[in-house]
Amino acid sequence: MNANAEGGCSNAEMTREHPFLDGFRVIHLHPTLRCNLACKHCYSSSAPGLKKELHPKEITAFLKYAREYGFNALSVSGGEPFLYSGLEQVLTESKKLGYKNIVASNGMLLKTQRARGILESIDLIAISIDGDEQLHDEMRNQKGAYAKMLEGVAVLKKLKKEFGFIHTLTPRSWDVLLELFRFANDQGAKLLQVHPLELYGRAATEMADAVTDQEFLHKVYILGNYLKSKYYPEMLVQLDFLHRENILEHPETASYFGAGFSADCDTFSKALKTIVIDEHGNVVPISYGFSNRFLIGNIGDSWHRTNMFERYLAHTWGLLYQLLERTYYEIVADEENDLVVWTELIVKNSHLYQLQSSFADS
Amino acid sequence: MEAKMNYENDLMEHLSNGRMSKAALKKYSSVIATLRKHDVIVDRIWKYGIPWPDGVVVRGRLGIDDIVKLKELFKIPELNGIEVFPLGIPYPDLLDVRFKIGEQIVKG
Repeated sequence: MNANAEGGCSNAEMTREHPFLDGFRVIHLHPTLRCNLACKHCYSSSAPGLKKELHPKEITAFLKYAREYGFNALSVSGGEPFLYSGLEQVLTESKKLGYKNIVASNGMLLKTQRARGILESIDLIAISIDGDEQLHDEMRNQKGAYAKMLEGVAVLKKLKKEFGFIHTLTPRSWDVLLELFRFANDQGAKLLQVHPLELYGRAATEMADAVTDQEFLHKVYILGNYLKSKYYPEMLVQLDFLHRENILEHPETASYFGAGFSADCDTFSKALKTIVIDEHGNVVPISYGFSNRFLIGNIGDSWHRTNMFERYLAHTWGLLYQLLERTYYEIVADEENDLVVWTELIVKNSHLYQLQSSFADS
Repeated sequence: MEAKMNYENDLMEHLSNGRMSKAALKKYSSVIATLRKHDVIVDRIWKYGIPWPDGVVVRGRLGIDDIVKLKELFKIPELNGIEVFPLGIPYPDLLDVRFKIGEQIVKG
């Protein structure tokens, strides 16, 4: 199917093949920014007392729509997902639609009967961890957060639920990194995801001096690649930053598929890999905080049965691809910075680049 | 197990060495990225050199079917040496490959 300017899709044949990565095509959902914590490194500035939340019916209508375009995994974040009143409904419907359900949680609210019920609809739950008890509690701005998180992990183990850990990487991580990997493995985690701190939201003000520079990323990359092998296959280690050489070898990891590539209805989810629904119901590409210049739509649109993706492909895809292409060539040209936190870079560039609707000036 | 912990701590210490330049770290990770590109599984990294560490040895595994990739790996300019040990009796099915990346620390 190809998108046309009228906003419909026809069954035109693709003219060439593209090396897409297999795997999950993710809808990253932030149904509320309400949280029981106010972490220093939070990129969405989630906090207690934030009442606004998305309507589950609007979310599930969008999930149904997006499923037809190849999206196959729902990743719920927040805020703390277990504080979202519609979580059970959304995950149950999502499962029926054939999505894999992934939830990122602080793990502190898993002991209730409600939480145990919700866990049944979750394929993988990722628990955030900042290091040892002292560092974790300090980053979470709450004494006892680590102990409560451990209680949540105990619930997961008792229920034999697959779980992983997510660690936000800051320079202070270095001293606890080996122990963190050992701990995650000892707990039986299937995944340890290491995500460099991104200076957005509360992190921009409270963690401004905790930038992970190239020198630090090199160290983590070297150590992380060894640890990847050490813990494979019991625990997968995912480093959320890429070596420039690997991007040059596989441009598709940076969502770049060569000059003149144009996505269509069949390839949209494969080319983009991730879309995000923020707390307002806005759908943006790739990562939370992406500039609204590249807004795909609002989940209310699917409620009203408008062809959100087709419209996007016809009117805005070219602009987005220009951004992806420019960012790719920025990486190619930058021989100084080998390690690339691509999601942070692309979000930053989405706000920086003065793109035109036309490609004439590029 | 204890020995393994020790060399992990040694590696951490080596990487944390304030005298190691950014260029050296860049070289290490570039080599590792290249090895990954050629499907080498990094098994172990340890420092070498007495009395001062001169660099690191990266030990990796490569499937016997990927032996042709060694030709490409020999071209990595940052490498000071490669040692290859076939694993598997009587017929090797795996290669234990050790890559030496050296002269990283400013002595003094």
